[in-house]
Amino acid sequence: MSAVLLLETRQLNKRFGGVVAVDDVSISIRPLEVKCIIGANGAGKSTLFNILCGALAADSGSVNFEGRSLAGMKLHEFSRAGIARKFQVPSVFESLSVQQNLETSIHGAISKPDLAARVDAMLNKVDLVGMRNQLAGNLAHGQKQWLEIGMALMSDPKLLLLDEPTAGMTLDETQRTADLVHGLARHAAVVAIEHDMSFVRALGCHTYVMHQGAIIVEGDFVDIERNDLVRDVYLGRA
Amino acid sequence: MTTILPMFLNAMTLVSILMLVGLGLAVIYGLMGVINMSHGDFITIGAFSLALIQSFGGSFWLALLLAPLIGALIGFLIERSIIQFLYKRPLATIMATWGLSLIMQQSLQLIFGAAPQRVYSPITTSVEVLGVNYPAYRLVMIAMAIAIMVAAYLFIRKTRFGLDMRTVIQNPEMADALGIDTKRVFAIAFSIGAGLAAAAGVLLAPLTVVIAQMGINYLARSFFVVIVGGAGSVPGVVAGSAFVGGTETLLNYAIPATLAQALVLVLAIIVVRFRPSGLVPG
Amino acid sequence: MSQIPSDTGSSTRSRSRVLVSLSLLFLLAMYIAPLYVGVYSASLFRDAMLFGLMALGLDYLWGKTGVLSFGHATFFGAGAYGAAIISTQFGMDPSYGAWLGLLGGILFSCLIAFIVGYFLIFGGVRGSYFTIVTLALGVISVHVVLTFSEYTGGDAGLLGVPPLSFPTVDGFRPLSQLGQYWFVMTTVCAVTCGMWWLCSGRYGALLKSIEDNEQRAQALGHNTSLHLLIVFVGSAVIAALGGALYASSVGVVATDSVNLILSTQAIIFVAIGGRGTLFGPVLATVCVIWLEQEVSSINVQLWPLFMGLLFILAVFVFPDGVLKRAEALFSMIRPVSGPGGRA
Repeated sequence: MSAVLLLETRQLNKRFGGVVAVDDVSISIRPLEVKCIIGANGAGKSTLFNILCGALAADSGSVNFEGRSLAGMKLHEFSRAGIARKFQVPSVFESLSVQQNLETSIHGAISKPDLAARVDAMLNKVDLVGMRNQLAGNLAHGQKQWLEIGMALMSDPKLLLLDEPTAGMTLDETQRTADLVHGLARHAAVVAIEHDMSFVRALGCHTYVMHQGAIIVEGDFVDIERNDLVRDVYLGRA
Repeated sequence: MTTILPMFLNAMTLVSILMLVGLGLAVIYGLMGVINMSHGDFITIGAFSLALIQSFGGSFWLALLLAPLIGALIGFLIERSIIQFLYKRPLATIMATWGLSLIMQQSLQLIFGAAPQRVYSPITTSVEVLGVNYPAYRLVMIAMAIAIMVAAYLFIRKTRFGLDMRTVIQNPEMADALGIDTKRVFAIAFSIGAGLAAAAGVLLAPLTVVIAQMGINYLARSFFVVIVGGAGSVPGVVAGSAFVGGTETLLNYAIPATLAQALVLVLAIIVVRFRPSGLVPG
Repeated sequence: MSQIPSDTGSSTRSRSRVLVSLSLLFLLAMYIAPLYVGVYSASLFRDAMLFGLMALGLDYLWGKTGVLSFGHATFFGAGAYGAAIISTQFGMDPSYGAWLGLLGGILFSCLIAFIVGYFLIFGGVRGSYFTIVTLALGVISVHVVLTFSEYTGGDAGLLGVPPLSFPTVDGFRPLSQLGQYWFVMTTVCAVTCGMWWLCSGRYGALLKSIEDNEQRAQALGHNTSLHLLIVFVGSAVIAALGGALYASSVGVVATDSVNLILSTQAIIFVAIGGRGTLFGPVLATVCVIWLEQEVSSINVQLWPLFMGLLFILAVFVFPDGVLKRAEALFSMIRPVSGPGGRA
């Protein structure tokens, strides 16, 4: 079983001064699996996300991707290894068109017809066909989020990390994002860090609950919702 | 001792000038993230003020008092008329202040001519320091520069305005939220920086050739003072000046002066590579 | 809704098509110019086109990636001095010495750019810091030229740089004045068109993305430091080509092909021509140098004042170049049918 793990963390720890932001976190993701990490604000989700994508170094513990340690890897090498990320704040290239945003998201050589075909396919997937020549800076907030997901997917990643992908979205947009993520799962594993319950419910996947830096419960979302401990520490107060 | 002491004092002469020039530049950069390419020309303005005042029979000390005020006034006018509109565009500021620098240099040359201006040192005697004869003016100059630096340090550390300034350097948004008038802080800090450079110009003038283009040499060096030392702190400026001025003076004894200057700048580039936020990070 | 996106796309494309056709027309005029104007004007055009290469190099760097170099004359000068020293100081036969000089000048500049660029770019130096370090580089290079006067000729400069030679029926013959003119024109046209072609597709968008948000570009798997280093070295090579050809065309190299004024003018050329348009800066170089001649003929002292003014105007009045500003004014007058008017 362990041989097919895509991403695995072992006993990750991170402190900021006296605050324990990530406390002994061990999670694992298999290929084409969708998992969510939920928790209240300040539960340590974003710190964990930053460690997973290499923006922060853990104090102790390890992160392995396909059995290889990610320690010391440069930012651009993560994407080449097959890990794509979508940050919380939409960060598309505002002065490029939607199409150019997607085109620059592939590194390395590719023939023109291949590139055009992949851009067309992605525009369809993220529902931005009509906007291809618009400057990305002119898109609506939800569209920017989708474009960024599309950009992350252009390099055919094995793993997609999403940080609060539905932050600031309307209910309708949230539902469409959940559908989009379901569609993705045929090609890549997805780890979403979320605050918004309706999105996680719509995804209905295996879920970790973080509280004060530690994973306190994990399981299917339907079970999580019924869990008393989770209700007490998180859902009850949310 | 007889060779080391003059070497040390010569180094101190350059270091003290660079401190004064670098401080203004560092404060402006630390505060506003603005690189003022016309900063060197305030040295020129100081030196020309000295020449003008002396030509009307005024004394060196009167010039040392008036020139910083002239520099600060011109700085204030420039900040209000041009720079305040460019705080969000660092490269645009570089271009605009470079344009200003060209205009100031050429105007000075058109008005005063291309020949070097006459300035007179207030003290022409030498004194004996530990058995070595050394020009008294240089010693006075070093002392004045150190006094001005100490005053600037106390001003930044002890006054209300200094506190406001440090708050803006730490966190501009927070400073705004705390009700600090950042625009006012910028304008005053810019004027003070310009005034300090003009003071440096007066002190420097008797030791150098006073021409309209004299600022450019000090501009490049004082940038390295700021980069090497770390922007936005007095100790950083002192460390940076000691590095740039000290190394250059020492190299001067071994290799031609122009090459020494070039080599110092190369060294500074290497320092930046390994300590991107300077020797004394703010 | 679907109308709007296609509009913005086509107006950008039609704008660049206007610029390109305007440029080609202009270049054609430059080609035939020596048949109608005097020798002096022709040599002025030739030199201006070579300074235009320096502007093109700077535009590749500043226009495409947003990194401003304040010392680009260093690379022009390295090309010029490299070519002059190699072709005059080693007693080589000018028929191949001139070509070796050209090659050597470019390689020399390439080496400087690589070393400086590596230290700065991989050291994480960006933005304003990068600009002032390159300014210092410009100051250094003048010092170096003056210090090593036995090789560089110091203030007097180096004389007698041979023109390029081409094989003819009578063996290798140096180019005539007119031949040099056309050789320079052809080279500048070819390099400019080549750069335009290179930057028109995905590569240009990639560079733009680095300017927009470098971290994001890294996150997408682009080794942005490497890309920036390649652009920096490439921009130096283009400037050095201009410098080396300048040395062999004029026959003399002095400190005015390496000093800060030239670096400064390079920025003006790009700012006026329109950052990132590649053709624009080459055009602007010729226009500005012509303007310089006109102004200096009134009084030599006036030109630096004009340059200072142009800098401030470039910042406040035409941040995207003169053409773009003119176009904006034009579409204000004719809001319905002007390009981009519908969007």
